[in-house]
Amino acid sequence: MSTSNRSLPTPLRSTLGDKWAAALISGILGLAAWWLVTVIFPRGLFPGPVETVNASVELLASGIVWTHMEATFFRTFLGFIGAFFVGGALGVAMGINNFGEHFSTPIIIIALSIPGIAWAAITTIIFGFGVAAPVVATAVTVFPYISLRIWKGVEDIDPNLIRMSRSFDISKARLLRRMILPSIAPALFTAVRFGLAISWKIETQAEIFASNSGVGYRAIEAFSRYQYDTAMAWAAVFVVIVFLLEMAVLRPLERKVFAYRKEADFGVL
Amino acid sequence: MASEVQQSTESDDSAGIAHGTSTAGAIHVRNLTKEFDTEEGVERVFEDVSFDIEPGSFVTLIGRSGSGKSTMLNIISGVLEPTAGRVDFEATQDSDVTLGHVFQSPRLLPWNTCVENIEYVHENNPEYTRELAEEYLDLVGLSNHYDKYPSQLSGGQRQRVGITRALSIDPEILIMDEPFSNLDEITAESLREELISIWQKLGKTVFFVTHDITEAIELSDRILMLGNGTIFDDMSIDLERPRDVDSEEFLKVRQDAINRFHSVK
Repeated sequence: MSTSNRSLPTPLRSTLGDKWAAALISGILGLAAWWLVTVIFPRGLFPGPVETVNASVELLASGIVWTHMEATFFRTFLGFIGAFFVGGALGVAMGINNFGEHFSTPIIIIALSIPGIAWAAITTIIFGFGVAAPVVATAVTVFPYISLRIWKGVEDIDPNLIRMSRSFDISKARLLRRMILPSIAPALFTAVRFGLAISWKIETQAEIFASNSGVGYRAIEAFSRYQYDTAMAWAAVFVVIVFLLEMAVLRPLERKVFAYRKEADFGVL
Repeated sequence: MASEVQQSTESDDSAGIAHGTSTAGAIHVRNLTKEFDTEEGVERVFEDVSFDIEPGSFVTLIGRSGSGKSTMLNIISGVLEPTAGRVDFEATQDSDVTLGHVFQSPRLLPWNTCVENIEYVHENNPEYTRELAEEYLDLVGLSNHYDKYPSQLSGGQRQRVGITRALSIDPEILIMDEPFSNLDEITAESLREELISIWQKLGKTVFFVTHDITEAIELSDRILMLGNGTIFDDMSIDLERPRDVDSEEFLKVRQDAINRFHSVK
């Protein structure tokens, strides 16, 4: 049974080796497309992969990158935490009763339709320069996405498993830990992953308006000084760190939590 | 309206011996009425139903869909309150009666192994050990599957874990709600045979619900037929065990049961 996957790969399910090959090919194609753009527009303005790597190395060597990286990470994280708690609470309310659903739906629809950049402007007007404006802009932009995921996760809880637990006199605490949490774990993971990804985008946007530090602020500053390779380098360094975070923290954790699943159908964005 | 579900306790002199002499596991249903309020008014599911279930006996409730089988089952398990009447259980020693539930689908936690699924229902049992779970899994032939997840088991094996989970809390009464109706007939048949042999070994009261007359006759000491808001027939099955569903006697009893069952529309 354990060897069947390897010896008889089905047409739709690739083996482990193919997975790495596919990821590698997609990476190479992405770089090639980037390079192609710099060749097609030969004004020498748009930095290619090589210039960006060089600028990144310079940036890392200068050491200034870490303070700004830290500022952006810190605010992204704060904004995400805010979004997660507000969004999670609304999502749970939507999942468990009709009042919660009807109460939350208009809030979420309206919140979804407001662009992050508008929130960045609004919060800057309210809070001025500093930590609060980008953090709040991030939290209010991201929470509806979290709500929608958690809502679906709570709705997907199998009521029969709750009835079973009641039949066996399981306490509320045990029910929560052993039944509810594992049940909504997939939704929690998606919420964390998408939430962080959107948070960092909103955060860097908000920094343009509301901050004088951070990756977004430095990137736009470099751009306005025509240092396009440095602007790209700021983004590239951040992307690499987010990628490493995904591979080193989220995926191993996910693998552990979902070990019970028959197929390795996790790790898919 | 006097509606309560109560338990009486009785000390058992011959603890551990001859389950036939103890009254632990008896169920007394008295003057049970259940009504639901609907938009069209009050709908009465059944009225003034009384019956007793002998300790250690295997009793099956059959009825068509919509006859109130599930309502009766839910009142006996304490999920629903009766409109009037009461259900009494007799427990061993001074403890509350313990009911072991087996459901139509196994209702296992998919993220837990067989052993963990059993452990889950032993929250208040300080004497629980992994060995206990393994012992019960051995009883239903799952010795090689202790640490497998439900997704790695067949439908029949999953239901075996469900039965094991119910047995593991050592209940006086096993309540089974159409536990084999989702399985293919071959698997269902082997599970029925196993259930009977376990029941004969452990001597628990079984209250079984089904809509399958053949299954009811194969398993039960007694069949209660529910319909028209009442138990309209109470049929003893005196066939010797193990029962051969193809034998002439069995078919005769079956025909008799079908006639009696269809006498009420």
